Amino acid sequence: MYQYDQYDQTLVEERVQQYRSQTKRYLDGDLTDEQFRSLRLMNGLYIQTHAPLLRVSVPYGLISTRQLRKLASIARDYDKGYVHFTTRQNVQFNWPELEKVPDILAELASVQMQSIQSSGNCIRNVTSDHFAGICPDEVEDPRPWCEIIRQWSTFHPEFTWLPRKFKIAVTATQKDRAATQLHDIGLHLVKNGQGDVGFEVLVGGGLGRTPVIGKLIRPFLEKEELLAYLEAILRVYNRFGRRDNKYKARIKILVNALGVDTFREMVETEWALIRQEEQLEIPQHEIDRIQACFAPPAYKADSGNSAELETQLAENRAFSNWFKQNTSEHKVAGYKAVILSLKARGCPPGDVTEKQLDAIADLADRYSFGLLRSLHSQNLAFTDVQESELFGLWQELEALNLATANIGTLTDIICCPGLDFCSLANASSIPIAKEISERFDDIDYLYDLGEINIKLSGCMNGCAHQSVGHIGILGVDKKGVEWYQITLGGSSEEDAALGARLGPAVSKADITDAIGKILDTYIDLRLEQEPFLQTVRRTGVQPFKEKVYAD
Amino acid sequence: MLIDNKGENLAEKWLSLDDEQPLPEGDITVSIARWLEDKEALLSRKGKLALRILGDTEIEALKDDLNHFQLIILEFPKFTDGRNFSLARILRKRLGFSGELRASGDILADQLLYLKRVGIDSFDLDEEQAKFAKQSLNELTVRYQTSADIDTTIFQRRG
Ligand code: SF4
Repeated sequence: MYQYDQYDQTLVEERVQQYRSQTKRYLDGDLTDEQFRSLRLMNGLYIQTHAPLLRVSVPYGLISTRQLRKLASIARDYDKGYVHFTTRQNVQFNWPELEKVPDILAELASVQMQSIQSSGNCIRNVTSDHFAGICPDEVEDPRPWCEIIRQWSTFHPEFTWLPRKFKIAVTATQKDRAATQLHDIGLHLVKNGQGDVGFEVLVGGGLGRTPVIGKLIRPFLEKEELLAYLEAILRVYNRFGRRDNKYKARIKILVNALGVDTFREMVETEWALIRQEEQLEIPQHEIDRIQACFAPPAYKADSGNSAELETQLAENRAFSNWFKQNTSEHKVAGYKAVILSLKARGCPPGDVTEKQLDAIADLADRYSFGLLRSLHSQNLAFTDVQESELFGLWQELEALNLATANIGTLTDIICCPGLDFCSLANASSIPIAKEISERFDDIDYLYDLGEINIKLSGCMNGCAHQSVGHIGILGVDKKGVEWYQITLGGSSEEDAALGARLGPAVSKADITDAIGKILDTYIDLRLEQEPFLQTVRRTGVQPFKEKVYAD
Repeated sequence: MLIDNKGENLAEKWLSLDDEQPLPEGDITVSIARWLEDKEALLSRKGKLALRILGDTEIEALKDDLNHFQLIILEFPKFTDGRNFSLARILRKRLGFSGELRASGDILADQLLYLKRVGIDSFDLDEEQAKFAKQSLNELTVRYQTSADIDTTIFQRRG
């Protein structure tokens, strides 16, 4: 993974001091609530219903065991013993004390971690494919480019007071595991007709109140132009994005208002000028240095006996279920990626205790070169496990309650904190996720249903991306009572689409039953192996609607 | 309170003129509206001239006028409005403005370093913020990006 050099380390240490003095000024009364709010948000600190919440960046979802152990110790010393992984691959502490946050940042800086720009109206932590570097069909590892974007966007002098938050995601495979079409900028590493690698650039995607799928602005951008082009997009947005209404301030609104063609013209004009004015090309030696940080680990040429794995799979159904659901292919023969499910029955999705964190770190050291990934789906992954060691790893994960074989199934729910923690919430989400995971916990039933994702947000802000869930659930408030609006047929992947609304909102008491009826309808309607999403797209929501709202 | 981009106090030498006020002698600052309306009178007058602009200004349209101004003041009605950061950068690196650039209004001490980086020379801000100016101008020494203050990115400066 990327290792800080003296510049990077100095920067995070200076940042800790800076934030310490900002906190002091606030506590001394030298900053108003409103002034401090902007400053603390740019450092990932929210004030929630019960306590502050600190969001720590996990750049492109890559994390070392040393860092994981640090998170565990912070959870013990400064928090209530657990952390929460988010849909943008970051990690959150739910109960830090505002006064202690500078100390937490100092702890994080000691392991090359930080929370710079993890919130606020600035360029946020860049995300990527959690399987970057191990996919057989990858055009090129996207992580070095993510790291370049991370550095370029950190304390950008011009783009730190944007109209609204700004999110960038980068992928390099056909399959989109990073929801790139729902980002302000989505970058896809692609090969052109000449065999050169560059970026396909999407702009103006986003969720929240006005969900929009990103639009193609440039089919092929030469790599050396990356920063110049990003500066051009950001400058057009910074100057012309709306600032009068926070719900209309994202770049998607600007792109829609101007039309993508006009927006593209403005960007390309700006880009041409930037190219004359500045030298933003990254020298090859620096690209080499950064790429070298992501060199593949020392895979074993002979990674063991596949006959033994076959036997283990044949003899142990629980293991073979887990193997089928929770492991994924690897470009190196004899290796697999393993997803650790943070969606055990009855547990808040994405939460991990400090004991689990320490244990996970030990396992990652023993089984996966001391590195792990956080996923958009709020799970964790070991990406480099030898097939011959899968059985042993599975047993150890079982003991930690991290081997629920439900990845990609109905109970692999993406869920926001909702009413339990979030001051903006209209309705609870964690208790609903819990109820669903308890009701539908028959593993054979889940496998029969196949790939279905539920995304569940406690308000219109849509932090859990419900509008692109196969099944989206949105909490709404009706006269102080919690109700839930359902959408069907959304997707955040390469076939990205917004879900269609099923009908009037459903009461809290009925929501799990409604999900049951949707599933029954699917089972009735599906053709042979047809996945849920395809069925909904084929039939539309009408048959589901009839079933759910029948008296 | 007026300070330079090292945090040292400056004396105000400019008179800020309303759009309706009669033209005085001496060094004055005017809005764009006044400039466009009174160009000739303003130019035939004794004394230096400065322009006050807001974040929504189409600064490129003023390209040919810029040499008449010794100072351009970028006004911040609200500290969260970041448009002036882009305008300053464009004035410096695209339009070649070499006079004084000043940021004025609702500005946080914590923004001064960024403003300095995009090319601002002086700040007119509240005293409560000004008293932390020196500290915050010196808090961060690492610069990853190019801007008006530096021509290379961190990627070029390394090794
Ligand atoms: S979706 Fe709403 S309730 Fe859920 S975390 Fe986001 S803001 Fe809070």
